[in-house]
Amino acid sequence: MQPDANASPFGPNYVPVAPGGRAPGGKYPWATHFGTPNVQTYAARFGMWLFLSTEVLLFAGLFVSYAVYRYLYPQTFALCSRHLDLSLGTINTLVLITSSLTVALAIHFVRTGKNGMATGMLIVTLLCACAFLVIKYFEYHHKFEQGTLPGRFYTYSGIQTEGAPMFFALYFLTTGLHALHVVVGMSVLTWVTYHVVKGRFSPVYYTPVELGGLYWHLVDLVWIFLYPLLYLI
Amino acid sequence: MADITKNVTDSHHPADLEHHGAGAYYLVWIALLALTGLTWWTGQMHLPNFGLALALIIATTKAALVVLFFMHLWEQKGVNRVTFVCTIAFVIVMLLGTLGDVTTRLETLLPKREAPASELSHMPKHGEAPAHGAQHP
Amino acid sequence: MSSATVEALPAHQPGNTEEMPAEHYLNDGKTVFSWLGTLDHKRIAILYMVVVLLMFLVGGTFALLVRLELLTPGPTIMDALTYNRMFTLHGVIMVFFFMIPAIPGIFGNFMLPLMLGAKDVAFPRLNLMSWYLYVLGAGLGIWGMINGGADTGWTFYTPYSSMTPTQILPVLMGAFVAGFSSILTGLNFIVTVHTMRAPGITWMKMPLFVWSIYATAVIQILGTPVIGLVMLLLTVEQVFGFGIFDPARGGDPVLYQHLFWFYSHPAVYIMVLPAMAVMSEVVSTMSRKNPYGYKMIAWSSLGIALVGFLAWGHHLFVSGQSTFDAGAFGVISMMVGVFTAIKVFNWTATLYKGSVTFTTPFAYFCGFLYFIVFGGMTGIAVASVSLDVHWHDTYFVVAHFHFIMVGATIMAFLAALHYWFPKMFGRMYPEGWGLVSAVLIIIGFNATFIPQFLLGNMGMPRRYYQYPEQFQALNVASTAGASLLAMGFLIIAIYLAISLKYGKVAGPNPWGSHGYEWLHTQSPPITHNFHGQPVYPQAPHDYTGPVEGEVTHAA
Repeated sequence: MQPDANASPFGPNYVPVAPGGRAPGGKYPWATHFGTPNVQTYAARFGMWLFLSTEVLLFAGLFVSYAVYRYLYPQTFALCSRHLDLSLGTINTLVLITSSLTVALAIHFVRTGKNGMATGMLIVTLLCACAFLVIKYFEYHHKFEQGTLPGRFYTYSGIQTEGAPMFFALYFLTTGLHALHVVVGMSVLTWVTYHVVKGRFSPVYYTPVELGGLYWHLVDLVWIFLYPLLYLI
Repeated sequence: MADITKNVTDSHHPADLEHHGAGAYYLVWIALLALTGLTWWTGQMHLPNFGLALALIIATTKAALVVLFFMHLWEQKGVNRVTFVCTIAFVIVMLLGTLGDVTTRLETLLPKREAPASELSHMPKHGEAPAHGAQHP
Repeated sequence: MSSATVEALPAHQPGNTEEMPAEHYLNDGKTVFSWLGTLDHKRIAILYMVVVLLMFLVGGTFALLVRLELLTPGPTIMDALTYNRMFTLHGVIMVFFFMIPAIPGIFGNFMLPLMLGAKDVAFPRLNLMSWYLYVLGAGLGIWGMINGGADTGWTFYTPYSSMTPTQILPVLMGAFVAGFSSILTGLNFIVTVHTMRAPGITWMKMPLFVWSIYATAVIQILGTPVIGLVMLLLTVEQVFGFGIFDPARGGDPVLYQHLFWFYSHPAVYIMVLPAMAVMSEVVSTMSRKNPYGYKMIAWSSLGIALVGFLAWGHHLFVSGQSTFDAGAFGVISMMVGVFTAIKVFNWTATLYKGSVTFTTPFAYFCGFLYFIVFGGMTGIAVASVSLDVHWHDTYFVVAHFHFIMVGATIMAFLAALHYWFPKMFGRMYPEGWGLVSAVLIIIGFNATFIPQFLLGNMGMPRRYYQYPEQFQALNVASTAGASLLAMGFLIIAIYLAISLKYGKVAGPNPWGSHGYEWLHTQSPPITHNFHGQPVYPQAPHDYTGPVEGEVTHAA
């Protein structure tokens, strides 16, 4: 019994498609090499968690470098940390946490069939992301002006101890890689928003919204650790 | 024979998440804001011995809230949890293996250490220009 | 929802096995796009095979050039810088573009769904994408090699790699992109194993090949991102001079080695676990016996994946790592030997009182057993700190890792190529030529690397362009062995190419195997693998009774 293209064994809400195929009007595109749509959702979610695990390990390498150099240069790191703008860092933390809330709410609204509310929440998330990047830009700009830059670009005369350029190298690497993830997350959420507006998602089928949300939460997670480690030594 | 014809990959895990109201999300959000405030407050005390530990405990609590409730790991039993826990375990392995080296290495084999703490004793507050005493002699 | 499952059809249509089946995945679409845009895991496996073999050719050519240069103590055919590039590119290509993708990319892709009774892997489009990433990475690597090439060795150790005059960036980026391909393959395989198993295939009834590939995928997921980060950090060092690993700027070059080996030591098991995967299948089929100690073999795969992550520090014994760490890592490294030994003993016990058919795959199994035992024992030796101080960076280490990682992987790669050739292409290879080339390759491999063990023990350092006169005899022996090895590969290439078109038609199960991939499929399989949903009531390689619907086999 091969799945028939016209009739799905799971009811009219589940449309059999080829891998990666789409279904109209918020129906579930069931890729028929999966046993059931349930298995498909499970596979997608599990795949995303595995991907998040690779992201965590990607950042872990930087956190390990940070740990080593903080152990070697504890006083300098404390000194340099106090040279960062704590209020901007704190505001950015609050902004990202709020965006995490709105993206969780967006998934909630898609699942309860309120696509309009979901769209609104996703737009708020994207605005938060923009705000985060703008604030980050001001922080970076300040450092470029002062010369608190990594490695051989370090020209700041205020702190001249060994290890200060290393702190700023790690600062730029961690926040830079994180900002890159913010940009990627924004692209993903923009794509998701577009398809929410187009009505592709519904309480029956919301997997991409959920996966996009998971990615965004990861961006938040990384920042939750970066904030105390960089700003609050 | 009868039971094996059931699709083994299907019966174990209902894919749909539990439905509950949005209230929990707001509670988690408020908790996250509060914890951010707490770490901001305690971070500025610069507690000498357990400042780092406290900051990490607060950050881990916040991360746990995000992972368990925003990311729904609370409801997802089984493999996604195992994946996440394994990931964290391997991060810790990487951290321990590397720090285990740096912390026990001969002083001469480390890159140059910073000057003794006494020369760096004056720590400015946030935003304050560092004193010139912080310069390396 | 059992409505999706379908009654099992008869295992395969009985009848004329002298002709190729009319419909199979190879003739389902003949345009270029039907290959380059395919989502069929079997076609993607063939795509992998083409590029992997090409990379093997390139990497092998570099190896031969290196061996030719070492024929005489002085300069032979190239200058010192060219020599450095040659061994670097040999290492980079063989590690990142041949051994890591070889068995998972080709045979994992092809066999995993067949062994799980699935129509495809979980994410077919991701699968195709990972092939394209691999090709892109390989292309970048080759482009970098034409544009100057790296001379740092495949390990890219700092601080030299951040100040070398050669162009290492494209090579770094090539390895970086290929890493993504490896991650996606691993992710796909893990999800496939979790979600695509057919009725009857419980965890403890999965073929041992699947278990090992699963363990490999775990390493790919957890390790590869770290090497990605390391490559990025090196790029930043090269381009911007951040000084993260630069001692002049307060950086610690040993940190680079920690991060590098956190991936690259487990990466050895990305190469060897699939080799073990293949051998677990071959040994059962060729001795017609149920795998002895199935559970132990299965769990030891995961054990190797775990312990592999805890042992990286044994590469750093003489690099300035602390004595405490060296001791700890040395002790943990021994545990890899325990898990490998569990497998070796179980395979040997599987052979005991088996009805062994001495085919080409079995010949490679024998070679594999030899290489893994001797390579493994020398590995235990170099994992002892005091011994390694003497052997570090000599040819002893070169010979050791060529035995364990290359010897074992090549044996398994060739065994898999011969064992599954009938399944993949529907035709048999010539058994006589197969055995001849197997003998050539096993002897050639020994002739190449046993002299290197001796050279290393005498103190000849690796990566040197010239050497004192007294080392020449053994170097000549090693080069002679390498040419024997090349001869063996040439013979294989010729007869397999001929067999593709003119080989005897194999029929669905020429080995009479009870492995899952042989049971319900024709050779070559149809595009969706099975007619209907197969059901697997028996464990794989259960030779205690006849399988329902089994045709009499030729072997």
